[in-house]
Amino acid sequence: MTPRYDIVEHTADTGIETRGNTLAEAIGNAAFAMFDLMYDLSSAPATMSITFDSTANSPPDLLVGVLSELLLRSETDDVVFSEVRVNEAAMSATVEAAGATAVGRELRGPPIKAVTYHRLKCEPAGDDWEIQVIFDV
Amino acid sequence: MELERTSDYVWTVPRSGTMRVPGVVFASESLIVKAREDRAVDQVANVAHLPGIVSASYAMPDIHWGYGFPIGGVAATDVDNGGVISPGGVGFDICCGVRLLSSHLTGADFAKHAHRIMAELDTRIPRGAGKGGIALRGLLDGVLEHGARAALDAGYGTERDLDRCEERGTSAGGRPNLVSPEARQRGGGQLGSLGAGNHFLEVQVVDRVFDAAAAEAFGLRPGTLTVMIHCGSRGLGHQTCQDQLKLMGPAMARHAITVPDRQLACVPTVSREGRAYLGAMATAANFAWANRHILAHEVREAFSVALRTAPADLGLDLVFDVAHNLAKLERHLVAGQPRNLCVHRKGATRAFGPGHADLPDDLRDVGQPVLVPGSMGTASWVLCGVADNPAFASAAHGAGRLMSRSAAKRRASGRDVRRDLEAAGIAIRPGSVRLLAEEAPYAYKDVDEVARVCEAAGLAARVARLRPIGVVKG
Repeated sequence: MTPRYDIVEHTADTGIETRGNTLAEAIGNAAFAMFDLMYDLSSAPATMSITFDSTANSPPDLLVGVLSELLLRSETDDVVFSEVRVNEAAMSATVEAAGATAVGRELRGPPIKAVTYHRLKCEPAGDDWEIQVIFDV
Repeated sequence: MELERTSDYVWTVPRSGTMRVPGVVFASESLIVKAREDRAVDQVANVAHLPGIVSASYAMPDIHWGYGFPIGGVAATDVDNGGVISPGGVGFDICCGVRLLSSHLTGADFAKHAHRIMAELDTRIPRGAGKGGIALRGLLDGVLEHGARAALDAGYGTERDLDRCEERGTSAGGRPNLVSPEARQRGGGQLGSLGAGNHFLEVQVVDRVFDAAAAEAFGLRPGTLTVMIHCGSRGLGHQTCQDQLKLMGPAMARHAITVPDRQLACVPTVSREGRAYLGAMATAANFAWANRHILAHEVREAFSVALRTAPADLGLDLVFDVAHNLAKLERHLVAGQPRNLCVHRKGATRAFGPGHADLPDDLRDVGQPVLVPGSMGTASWVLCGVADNPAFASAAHGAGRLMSRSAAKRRASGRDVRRDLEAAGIAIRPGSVRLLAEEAPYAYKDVDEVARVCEAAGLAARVARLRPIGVVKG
């Protein structure tokens, strides 16, 4: 199932809100949203993959760490990540991301430069985890 | 947030709660409307909490909602009295800025060869996301230390170009090892590239001159062609800011600093962490100076090939290169006393008035050119620094966004925007047609009003209005 997210209106930049049953799922959904803002992911089948670990002292920092690493790898490896799976325990995440080459792929939104801390939210909400993040574009 | 009008073009956010200074927004009645609607004025108040901030938290007439600082925000902190440096007051695109070339060519010359000129620019100017720069990766380390000078030594541009750059195109203290390997990896393949979003390269014509003497000194004559380049430090700067913000959290705790927004994370400028940020920022800034220098060289090559004329005969001389996302150590008078300040300009342009020692010899009597790009369908402005600027020698950096990207896309498609621009006689070469909608002229404020208010508020004086005739977008 395609992860769901909502766009948070911002005058200069772009934000998203998303949820997940777990922190890991919510971070995975935020990662999907980040790339979905930039590219049509339905035409980016998973043909390349990476794995990395990320640790932090808090859920918001873990979110920023994972998204920032994905942006870095996307830009240095020329990859659009269309599938991101996160496994998390005790603020330590293992991230498996897969996607397709970005070379020659048309942008549908401006490239995201970075993940900001402005109005950052990553916290439990009832039985779910709720995320809000503003990207610098 | 409470906002009091204190004069025709000055609005004050009174000091309240834990604000250390008041907020001051320079705007007309029409420009203040949007700032009131979004969170920009709240952000002016948030910046007023920075330790060591002096006088006021300022915002320029193009103010709009940013992250941490408002776009258009200016904050000076007293370096010798606990004043902080905040990466959020510089932004992710460290040393993003604008470079303007004048020329001997006219609008008629462009009309005659428009297709060839735009085709050359389209082919030669790398843009969009990811890799793809004009310069070889091997130039990176030299550029990180020496900025535009290293690019000049590698054969790009002219010696005179350096005279017409802030800091002569080199931020002191830059070293390759002051930014992370990840930052170098991210920026390594991007040296000499435009990027995307609101970055652009425009061919323009001098539409109207307001100050003939200053325009003459800047090389701008009515009807002549100019080329404007807006871009920054690309992935290298973005990664550097992200890396530094991660370090700032724990460092703030060590210095017992709290701020209302994590994006305002800061440390004393003279602390170990502050000096580390200044070094990393200078390194990334050097990438940006060189990036615009290399792109300008490529513009000269493109025109030379398209017009079958030697670059030296085109007169594509640099008017000036300004940064509008940078913190600088400057000396200013505060209550009549000289103070060493760290002046953050986040979406604001340095605007030194006549007589300033840092201006090139041939502009010292005139003042610094201040470049204010508009949107691709309206106009851009060249202003000039004036004496007694009320905001630590700062002025606007652009039109300022009016509309969110989603709202702009709802109003028209990229194809519609392209059609409208072409109907207005503006040749357009977009990296992505879909992205044009987000950067449509109606998504921005009235740049003519921003320029007028800059002058009326005593921030900078109008010199010339530039009208776009060719746009290369990321």
